[in-house]
Amino acid sequence: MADFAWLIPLLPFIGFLINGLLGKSLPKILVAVIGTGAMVASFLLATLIFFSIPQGETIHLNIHLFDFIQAGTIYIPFDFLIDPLSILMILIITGIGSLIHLYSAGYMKEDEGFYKFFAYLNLFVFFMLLLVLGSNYIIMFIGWEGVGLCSYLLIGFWFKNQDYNNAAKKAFIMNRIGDLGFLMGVFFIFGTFGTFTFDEVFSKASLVTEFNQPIFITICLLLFVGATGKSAQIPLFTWLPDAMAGPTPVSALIHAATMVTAGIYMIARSNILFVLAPTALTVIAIVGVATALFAATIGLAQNDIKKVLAYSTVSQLGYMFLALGVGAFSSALFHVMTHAFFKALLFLGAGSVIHAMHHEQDIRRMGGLAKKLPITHLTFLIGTLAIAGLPGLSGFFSKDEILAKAFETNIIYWVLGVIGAILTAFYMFRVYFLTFHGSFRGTHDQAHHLHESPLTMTLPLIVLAVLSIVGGYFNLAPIFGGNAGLEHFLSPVFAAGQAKIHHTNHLSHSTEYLIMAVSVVAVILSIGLAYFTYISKKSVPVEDGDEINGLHKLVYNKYYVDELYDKVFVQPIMYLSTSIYKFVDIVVIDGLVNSIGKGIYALSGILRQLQSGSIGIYVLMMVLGLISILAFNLIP
Amino acid sequence: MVALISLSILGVFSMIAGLFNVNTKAVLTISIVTILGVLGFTAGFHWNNDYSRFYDMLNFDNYAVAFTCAILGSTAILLLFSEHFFSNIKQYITEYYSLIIFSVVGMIAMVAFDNLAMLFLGIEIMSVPLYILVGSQKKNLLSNESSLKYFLMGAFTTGILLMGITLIYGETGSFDLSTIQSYFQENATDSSPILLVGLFFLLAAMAFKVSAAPFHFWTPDVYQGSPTFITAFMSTVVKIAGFGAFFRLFYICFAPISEVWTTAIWVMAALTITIGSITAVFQNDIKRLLAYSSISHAGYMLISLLMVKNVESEAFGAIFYYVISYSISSIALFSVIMAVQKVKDSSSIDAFKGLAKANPLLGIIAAVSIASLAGLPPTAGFLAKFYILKSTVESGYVWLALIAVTNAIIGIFYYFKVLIAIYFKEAEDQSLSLIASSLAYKIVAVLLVIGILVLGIFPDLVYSIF
Amino acid sequence: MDSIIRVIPLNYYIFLSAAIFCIGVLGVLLRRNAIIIFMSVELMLNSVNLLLSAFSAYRSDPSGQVFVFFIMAVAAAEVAVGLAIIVMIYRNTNSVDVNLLDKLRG
Repeated sequence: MADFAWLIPLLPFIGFLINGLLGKSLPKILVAVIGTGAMVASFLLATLIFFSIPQGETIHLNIHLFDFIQAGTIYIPFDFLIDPLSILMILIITGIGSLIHLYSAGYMKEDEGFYKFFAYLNLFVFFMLLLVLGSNYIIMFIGWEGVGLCSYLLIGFWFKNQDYNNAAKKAFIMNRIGDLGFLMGVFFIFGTFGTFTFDEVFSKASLVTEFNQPIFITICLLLFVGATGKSAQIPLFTWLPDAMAGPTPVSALIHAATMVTAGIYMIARSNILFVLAPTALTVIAIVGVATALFAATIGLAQNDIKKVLAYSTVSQLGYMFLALGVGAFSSALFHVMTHAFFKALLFLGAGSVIHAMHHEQDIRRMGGLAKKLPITHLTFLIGTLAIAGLPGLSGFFSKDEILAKAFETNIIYWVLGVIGAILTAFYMFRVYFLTFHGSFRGTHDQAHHLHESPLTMTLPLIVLAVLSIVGGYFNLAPIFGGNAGLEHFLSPVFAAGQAKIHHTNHLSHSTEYLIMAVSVVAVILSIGLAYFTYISKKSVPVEDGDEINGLHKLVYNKYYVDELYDKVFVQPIMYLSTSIYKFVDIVVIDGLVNSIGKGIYALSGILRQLQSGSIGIYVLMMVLGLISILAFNLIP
Repeated sequence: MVALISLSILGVFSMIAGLFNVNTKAVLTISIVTILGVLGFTAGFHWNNDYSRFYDMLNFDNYAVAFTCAILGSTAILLLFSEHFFSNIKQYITEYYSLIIFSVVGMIAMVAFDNLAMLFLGIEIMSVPLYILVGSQKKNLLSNESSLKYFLMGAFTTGILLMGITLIYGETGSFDLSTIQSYFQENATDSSPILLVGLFFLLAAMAFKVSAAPFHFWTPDVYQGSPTFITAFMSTVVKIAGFGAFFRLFYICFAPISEVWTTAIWVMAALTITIGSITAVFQNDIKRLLAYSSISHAGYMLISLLMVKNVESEAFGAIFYYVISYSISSIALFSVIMAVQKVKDSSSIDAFKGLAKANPLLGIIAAVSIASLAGLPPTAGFLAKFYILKSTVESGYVWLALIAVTNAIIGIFYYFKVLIAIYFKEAEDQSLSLIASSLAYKIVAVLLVIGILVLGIFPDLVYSIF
Repeated sequence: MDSIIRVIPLNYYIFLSAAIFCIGVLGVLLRRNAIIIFMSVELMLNSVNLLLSAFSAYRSDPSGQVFVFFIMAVAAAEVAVGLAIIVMIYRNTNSVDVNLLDKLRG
């Protein structure tokens, strides 16, 4: 069955070709059917592959498609690698992708670029699948760049708005910085191992016994730079909130559920390299927990519903990096999965609200929507509870696992992680209460048109809500009487790496219950505070410019990170490039090129005088030529 | 052998057919079919099947077969493209065919010779019909002038060639290539003046035929003055034959004493490339511009003669690939020029303004063929230059490679002058939209364009046949 | 026959031929009348014929003499074409002065 895996990326690509080339003349319903159909077919295929793995066995299959590059000693086949990790990723991508395609059919119905939207989405899925299926770093890099391109195209989808274009450019450029790191890391890998293929690199790496060799630290840190770009970590995180300029399904699919987890996938894939460089892992853990906390504080003061969700995504990605940093690779992927469920749900819910509010995104203009949008309200509540980590829901299990693993490594990680969780619960419920409860604060016109979204939009919400509830039970830890299914499923991928990690202190069950209880109590208290503030006291965030105090202003303006980057990087570079352009380009290069051109033209004018038109001269030149050849060769 | 006999009969047939007013379309069809049949026979029968005739005076080895096929194929394609040209001529059409075919017979002898007598006869059988063809527009003064110039200088060169052959004969005692070659192998240090003068006279005569500097002066004048179809014939088919003979004589026969003549070739190649590409910059007449371009290309092909130390099959592959890519690109471009000249009585670059808008197909053909002539990827012309330059550097001629690359850049400058006129200038009148091409023309032209691109992507189709 | 030719040393033949050849070249270079230029070319060819015969005789190898016949035949063909071209020019310009023909230049 797995031999047919090459069809999985091919189907969305065909969908892209059809919609991209012919979509303009096709009816919208057909465009939606083709786009969504390709995704659903891929998903079914992925499911079939998953279930074709015999019980208790694992899978590790290399599918050779064709030879991509062969030059000297460099051999890069175009191969797909089917193993538990890639299967998990394709299930998430095609599954969530199918739902979001379906949702888009309703959400984008009025848009004139309907076919373009579906073509881009299909193309994105194609590249994302290439990224996770590729069996070497080059194929991965093709996918990596491809998703970056699609992300750019979709952020700037409404390209008539200059702000959106700027957001798209910002995302693209910041990703480029990360990609440079990734690419250099890949080159170093080739320099060290002489190959790009995962299997060969990892089997060679697993023979290495010495930890923290400088070359491994270099490789891992460079790869991590790539991951910070794609997965929006400090310092390259500022593009993700701006990326909310794109249509909401794009935010759900690309900027929450799939693309931004590419960095986590890449590090998990290369786990053996990172295990060999514990220093790099420490850096990852610190950056991860710092991002988790930092983004959560910004989320407290934002008033745009999608911005809050964006910062929450950055923060949750920080938790995943924390998990990677403490060597809990399968926990990170567990959180990737549950986060994909509830964050896609939250974004789609927000999209449903925005749809009902006629593209109003400010939560200060909402309120009391629970009665008008019952399905959206209920599913959004489930998503909020899941992300806040209320026991029994998916987010609880995955976040708890990460916090427990962090506690094992260093208690400071745990403390910061719990603080982040408290903040998360507060800002998420802040959004929830302000949006769905209290009195309506929008215009009269908006109130008049409030309506529940159509079935194509609510159906994905319901499916994702169910997944957000049950998602945690796919990997129920032994402490709750489960068998850690996902961890067992993924264990072959991480076996070599885990063998090298020396677990010093395993937590006793009582400790584990205790730290769980602490975080649950803290989260519930935080929700209570949010309830007290926004329901009991009915307070509404102040208008722009009326910030309460300096701290609030600082947080509201996202710690002025954007302004800092602008002053420190953008403006000096712009100044430098303008001056280089003015001097080097216009004066030196243009001057040089033009004078060479004029010189050749003049030379040509002189040389053509030789061609006098007279036979006598021609013959004379020939004879002279012959004589000089003879003279040169005969006279010693 | 069969090729020579059947083509001679074909030539006589089409000459007689003119007397009896046979339909010219029918003669053309018969000629093309026969040429293609001969091509197929030569390729199928003689490939990997060395075949000597006339007491070893002609030898159809793989090298000769490849060049024969290139000559016959290019001639056939050119004849297919001849409709635009012959539509303006009312009489003696079959005699053009006849002369062209006789000329081709001479070329086959040139690329298959194993005896200097055959080289001489081949060159003359090729040249004499060309003198007539160049002057075939009897009332046109420019045609007259170019004919006389070509004839007088050609006859002069024949004298030089014969003197060279005679002196070589005097020193080695034979006209036979293998005997001469073994003489050189045994007497590698022989540097008697008679031998050297003979060698360089031969070099000069061959350089004249392929228009290498400083023996190139006839080229621009003759190319400009000739009827366009004949210019196309001369700059492609004649060039292939000239190089076939040049390469066969020097690379194979004179290889043992290569130290003597490589320096001269080096200087000539550098001069040829430079003069060709720099002088072309000033030109405003497309035929004259292409004449200089062909001079410049001749310089690149000359470089291949310097590869005597390389593996033989590699050198054969490089020169043959260059010849093929240059030839199909030129033919494609000339087909456009002939089409334009049908409606405009001018070969100035200005006549091509707005061509792409008026006739997109011609625009695309021109663009691809010019890109190939200029040596831009992914066309065949790029790889052709690449292979030549690669072996130049491998053989240690780094400076020559630098000169060649510099001139390739200058080349882009003047080639793009034509492209800019075709694509970015507005037409002066509506006449360009009157060009009507037959379906056969369109099919062959599109196939040529595809051929240029396919060869550029899969060079091994031609490069590694030897 | 051979013995008569060999009465004179080979070098003399070479010098004589070279002289005639150079006269031919100079004629091509210096004269302006197309017919005279053409005759000078013929002079070059004949010097070659002479030299070939001499080499042939000295080496007792008949192939050189056969070559002479080839040259004569080809020269005759060239004469036919060449004179036709010159006549054509004369009809159009009433002159056979090659220096008048410099419309093609540059």
